[in-house]
Amino acid sequence: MSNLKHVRSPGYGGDSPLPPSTDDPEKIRSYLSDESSAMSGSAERVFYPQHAGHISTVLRAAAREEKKVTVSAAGTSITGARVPLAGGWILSIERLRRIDLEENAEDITPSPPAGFVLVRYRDTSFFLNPETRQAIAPVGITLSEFKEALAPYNLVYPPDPTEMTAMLGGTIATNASGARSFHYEPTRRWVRGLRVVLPTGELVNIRRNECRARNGMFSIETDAGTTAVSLPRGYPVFRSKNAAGLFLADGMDLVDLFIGNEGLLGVVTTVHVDLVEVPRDVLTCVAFFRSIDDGLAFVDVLRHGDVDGVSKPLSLEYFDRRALAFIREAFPEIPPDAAGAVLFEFEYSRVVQHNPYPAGTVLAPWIALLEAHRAISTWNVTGRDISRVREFRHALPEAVNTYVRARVGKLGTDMAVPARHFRAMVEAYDEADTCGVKTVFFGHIGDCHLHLNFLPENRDELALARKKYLELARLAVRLGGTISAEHGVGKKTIEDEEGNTIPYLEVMLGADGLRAIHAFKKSLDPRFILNPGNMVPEGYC
Amino acid sequence: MDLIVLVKYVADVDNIPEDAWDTERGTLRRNRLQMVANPLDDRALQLGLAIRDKVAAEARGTTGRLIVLSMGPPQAEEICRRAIAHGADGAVLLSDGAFSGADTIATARTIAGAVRKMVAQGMVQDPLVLAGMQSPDGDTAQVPVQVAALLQFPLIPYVAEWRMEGHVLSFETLQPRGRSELTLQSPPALATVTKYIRDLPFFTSLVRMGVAADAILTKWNRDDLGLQEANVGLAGSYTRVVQIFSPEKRGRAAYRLDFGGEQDPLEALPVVLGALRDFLHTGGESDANTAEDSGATSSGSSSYYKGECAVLCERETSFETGPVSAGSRELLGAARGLAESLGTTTTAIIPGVVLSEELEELARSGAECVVSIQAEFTNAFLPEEQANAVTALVRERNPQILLVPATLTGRVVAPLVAAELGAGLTADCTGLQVADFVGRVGGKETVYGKVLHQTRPALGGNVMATIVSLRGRDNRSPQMATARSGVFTPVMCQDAVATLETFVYQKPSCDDVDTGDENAIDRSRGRVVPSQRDVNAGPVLIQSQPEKTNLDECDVIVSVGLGIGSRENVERLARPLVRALEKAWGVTVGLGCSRAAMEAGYLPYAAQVGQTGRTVKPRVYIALGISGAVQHRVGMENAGRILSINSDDEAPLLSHSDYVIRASCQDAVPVLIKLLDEGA
Repeated sequence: MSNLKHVRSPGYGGDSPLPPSTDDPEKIRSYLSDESSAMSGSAERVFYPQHAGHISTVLRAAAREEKKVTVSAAGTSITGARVPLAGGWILSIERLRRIDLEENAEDITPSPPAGFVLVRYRDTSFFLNPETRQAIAPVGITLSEFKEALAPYNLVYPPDPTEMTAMLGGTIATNASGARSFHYEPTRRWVRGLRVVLPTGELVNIRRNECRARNGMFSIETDAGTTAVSLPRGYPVFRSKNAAGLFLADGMDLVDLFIGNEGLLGVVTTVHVDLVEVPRDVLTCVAFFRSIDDGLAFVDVLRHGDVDGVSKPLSLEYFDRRALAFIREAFPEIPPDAAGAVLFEFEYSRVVQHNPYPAGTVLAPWIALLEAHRAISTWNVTGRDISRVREFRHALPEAVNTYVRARVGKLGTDMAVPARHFRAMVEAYDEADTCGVKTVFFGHIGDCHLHLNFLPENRDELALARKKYLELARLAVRLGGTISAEHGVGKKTIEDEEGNTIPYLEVMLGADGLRAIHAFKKSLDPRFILNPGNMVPEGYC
Repeated sequence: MDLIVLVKYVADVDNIPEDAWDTERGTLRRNRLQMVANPLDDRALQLGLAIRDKVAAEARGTTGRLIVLSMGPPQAEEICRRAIAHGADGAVLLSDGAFSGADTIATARTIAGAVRKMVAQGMVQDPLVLAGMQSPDGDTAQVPVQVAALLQFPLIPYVAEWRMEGHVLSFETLQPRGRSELTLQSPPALATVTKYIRDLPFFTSLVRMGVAADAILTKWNRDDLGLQEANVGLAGSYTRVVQIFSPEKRGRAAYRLDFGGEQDPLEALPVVLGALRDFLHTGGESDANTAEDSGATSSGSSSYYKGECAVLCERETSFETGPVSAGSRELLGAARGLAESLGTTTTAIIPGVVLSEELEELARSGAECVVSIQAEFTNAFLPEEQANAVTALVRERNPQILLVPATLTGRVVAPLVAAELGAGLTADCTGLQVADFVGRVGGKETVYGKVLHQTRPALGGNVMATIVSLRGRDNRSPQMATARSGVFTPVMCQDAVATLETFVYQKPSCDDVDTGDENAIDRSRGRVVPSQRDVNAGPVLIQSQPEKTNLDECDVIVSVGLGIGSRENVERLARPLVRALEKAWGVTVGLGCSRAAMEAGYLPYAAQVGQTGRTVKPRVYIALGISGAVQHRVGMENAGRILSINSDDEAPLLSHSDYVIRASCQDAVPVLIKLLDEGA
């Protein structure tokens, strides 16, 4: 390793030295698994780049030394995406926290672009344009830091995948969404531009609307020249919320190629994003329904948003009767005859400054809509009283985790289907426990994206649940949906009907689809240095 | 009968943001505080709604109305509308710049004025007024009691449960030894509500929200209430805040020993045990509290107030019999110190016949004169009776200082007496000192010589405030303060004697009592009587004593936090340590806990030390896995020596401890017990 110190990267960054690194096994250990704890890898060294130049140097050194490089953000994934199964080096983005360092590395003046100001928060910094509501931020900032730093400007970055310790970089790699993506859509919509280091170490600055795929080809301008890559033919285009596989389509924007690719195609170092004003007043309602059909019909109306006076909710979530039973002890207010609950939030404006509620005329259409769908009762809160509803929302995942910790772990789905087939999917979820394993389901019903959790008692039940899981994934694909709407697939595998272990993504894209991804990756990463094993396992092709 | 629920717009003291403290100036940035409805007022509202609906269900002609009443800034409109969203029929908001800076009596006077106007206008009839027993910002528990006093409404303090049989409403109330039941024979009356009453649901219906949004609030200012400017706000207050400062005290670095890191912390245990044993047995006095104890700063000017320093003493077993409480003796010690610096005498006022050994004990505790109050008291917790007797006695003796233990009883009696006398009152003082105060009245500087500076925590222990009482209504009102037990040090005057006087109190017939307050209204027709039902015989008796030993009396307290790990560990580690300490050192050892440990069910509330529990002052305090937020520290920081055993390096208590063992309780406590058993 000693010769690494003298490595100088040619081209971009001139002679950027290698970033700080460590080979201390104790320090390395914390990068070897993720939140799922489902798998564990190994690594020789962890690098801590502070700017794009550092990353470029590491990737070029890796090519010479024939090392694999796995990028690591906060490790909040549950798919093994950051687990270094192939060994080699780890590139942690945790110190990519200062935009002024990033700029200096490129010998650009550290002054912000016109209209932007430099914002410092704790040890982070980013550029902010409060007027146009845009920010340019390094990817090592966590979502909670970004949120706190933006709060004084009354601005917020809309993607909110619940796990606020996630880093911006991780959310770009997975096209993160979350409860409010029903209103705000997933991460992709909010990204205006990216700075990316390609697997070869070349640097690309991408702005939305500047580079599109034409005739199945991208022509990418890097600091070292122009690289042309062809999109695979016959690769499917997804219309539902999706986080499985690459997003590849003719006419697509180059920015979108680097969002949700699970790190296969490059390392994003800074993101240029749009922000929104913090919703001022939000009303949260939990409506309980006597039948699933009433709940689904109510959700359909809100999804289409075709009722006068009913604005599009910020979020639209569902809890099935089993989920409600799970937390009834903590919330005895849950009506005993509820078959399910729909939680939604909407923004409203105050009539008068110190009047915290929406006027009766604003509420009337909602009241009528709930009555028309025979809601049993509703819980409604605003302002600071919202904390108890927040507890309600978090109680279920926590209760589930506590329950499964004492058993053999849980198996959770992340499937979504187009709205017209959603009812069929819900029926399948509702009947899933006939396989003999306890289930609960809940989640982002606005996006037709519910999480079904199997809660097996023992190994035998776990095997039953795995079988059912595959059936449901196949059904989602048949219905034109996705096997993963927000978690991504990472290094997940599944047993097929014959008992063979196959990559999870194969259920959706088939072997041909995986080969197409593999081939496309090769055009940007000829030596398969970067994040090997994500989506397509090593040695698959 | 209609209902009025008092709601207060207060800072959310459990969620004070980090940046609320201006560390450079040592002040709190009030605009950073989140404001909420006082949580106990939510319970009062819930009780009011339940009573209103029950009365309606009984279908006695017209349905009662429930109106909320709040005094606060214009923003308090939010909590008024919130109350309507939860079911209130209307809201009255008292808002006026002239109301700002009000102490409890000026606030009570404003609210009482509004209640009178609501009755006069026919907005309510024969109201039952409900309020949370206290609010977390001031924590004084004085305003509702003083509103009752000013309105001459019978008081039902500390409601924990209620029932309605036929048309009769009865309330189970907390009292020093269990619970008692009071029946509301006829309204009006005022009841204060404890946390044992069910909370409001956290949600409302959309229909009620719309009603709340569209409701027209009644907003009254000083003119609307017909109150004089001199009777409201700062001008109408009998107390003045001298200064506000951070509660962070000087560390204990002078003799601090911290074991952890490289060295095995458990090896230090014999040294620490030896040091603690020596401290106990050489009678080392607590030396950490000089900053705030009773005493005087030198002053050449003449005293503004005249008269003795008096303490209203309480007894242990019942109101009129039994030994003098430890808290009362501590206050006698404080009063003695103050009296000496003022050149006056110390008087103990005590209900019931004083036996000769009780007289001797009071004398040893610092009393030079003992006054026994003898009256025919009802054998129940009707604080007005006691307050009336004390008021009459104070009017006769004119002490310049009157100290009252901040117990369940004292926290009701003191504000009643203060309201009757028109005196300033400061609750839960942690420091009492005599010093000059320069006040600016009408732009003119006035020197008030040798007045009582009363220091107390506020905002849930997040700030400390020093307060003085200026002349009350009639130039002869005493400076009144309450203090919790464990805050002050008792004195021991060997061979001292005290004179004994008797004050016979004749209950006046109803019409003889009048507050003399210019705002007093005609005597109300409200009537509250003790119920015949024996509540304490029922299954609802609450545990009001610590399980075995009274923490106030302990030489050593072993106290557990969440760091002990589990309830089993309390039995497996903490209790055996208590026994081992008692056996090895021959001292009284008690078992206490932090609020978090209490809430986790490790020990009952009676064992909780801290702002919302007990204030203790043992010679040695052993903290097992207690992180020690400021709310806990105010309850124990006057301990002589503090030993912290904690594996959490970040625990704030560590920097406030004399001895720190950075190890887990599971590792350290068995070693301690073994050492003690071996005779350490």
